[in-house]
Amino acid sequence: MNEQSTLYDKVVRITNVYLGPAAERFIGRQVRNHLHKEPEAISENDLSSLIDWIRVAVSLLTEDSEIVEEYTEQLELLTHVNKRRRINDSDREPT
Amino acid sequence: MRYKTSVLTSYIILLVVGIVLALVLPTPPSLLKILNITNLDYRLAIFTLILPFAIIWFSAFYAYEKLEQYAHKLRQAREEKAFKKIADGVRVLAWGLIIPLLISLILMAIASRNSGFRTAQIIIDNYLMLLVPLIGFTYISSGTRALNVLVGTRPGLLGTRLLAFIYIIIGVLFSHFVVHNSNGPINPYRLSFWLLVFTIIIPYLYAWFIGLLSTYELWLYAQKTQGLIYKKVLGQVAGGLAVTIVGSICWQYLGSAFDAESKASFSFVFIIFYVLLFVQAVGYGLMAFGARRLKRIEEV
Repeated sequence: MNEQSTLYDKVVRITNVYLGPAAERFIGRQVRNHLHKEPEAISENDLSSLIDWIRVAVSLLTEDSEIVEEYTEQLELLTHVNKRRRINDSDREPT
Repeated sequence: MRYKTSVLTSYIILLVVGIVLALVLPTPPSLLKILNITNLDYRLAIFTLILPFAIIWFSAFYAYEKLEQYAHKLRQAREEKAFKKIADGVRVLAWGLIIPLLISLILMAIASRNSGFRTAQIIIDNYLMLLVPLIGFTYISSGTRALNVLVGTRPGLLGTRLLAFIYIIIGVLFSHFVVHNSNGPINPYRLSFWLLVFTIIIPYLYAWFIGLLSTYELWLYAQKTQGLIYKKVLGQVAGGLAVTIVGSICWQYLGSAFDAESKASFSFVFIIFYVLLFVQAVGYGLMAFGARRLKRIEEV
């Protein structure tokens, strides 16, 4: 993934695999309606709450629980990737 | 809410008008003679057709309403215009199921009192029947083409060859049947050869080609677009549209290629009627179901 891409871009990119052209609009609605902020402004602190809302919303769209699980697991990976990156960055910082 | 009511209201009004016209207007004696049935048999047959017609009209109206609502939900999205065109096309097909039939019933009643009007009635009926796929399929095709442009795809070699093959069979047989019928003792189209070729056969062949191409293009879009959930739902709309268009083409094919004044068995004609109504109702139902789910993706 591009180093420059924001968390929002990464979430949309994952969502694209499941919702295609509707992905950006879907994430925009979840963030605006449930987190009450602009989609581009989401931070790592919002991620777990956003994933919960996404799980609920996607469960309404498909009865295939495997797809719902797979999708939310992909999003949860973002949390781990970001945590790992933060640890790596702090290790690299000069003492 | 106001919008939702208006589609349902239009449906109910048209249905009531259709039932009243079908049961009240006089039947041309020539038609009863051709079908070899009594006036009572004819009324009973009409009565049994009301329920299937009501179901197919409802599924068609429901499908175009859901497609329009979905297109409306897309707002400024790239696919908005394409889906609006498809919804407009399906709306033309839905209204086209009822309006020509109502006009035909009125014209038939006029013709039953004034036999000199029979020729004009047949010509108007034929052109009205032709206008529906011509306009409807053109709208749908513009929409499916726009969707293909969005994903940068175009019909493949195998698909194009298959489409051409099927289309040539349909076209050649249709031309043969129409020309053969027009050379009979009573020309069922009441048109001269060249008028028949240029104003009936060619427009029908054009409309059917556009219709078949649009089903193929929507299927291509459903294949090329991303999104596991989106793709599955879009596949339902594409499948529904394909069944509706093919069912509609078969309906028009039989209506135009086979001589309405031939001595075909009444029960055979009736069975074909029911089967084609059922096919189209299934297509519209699938389309409505898919469009409703697409709309839900834009709502949650």
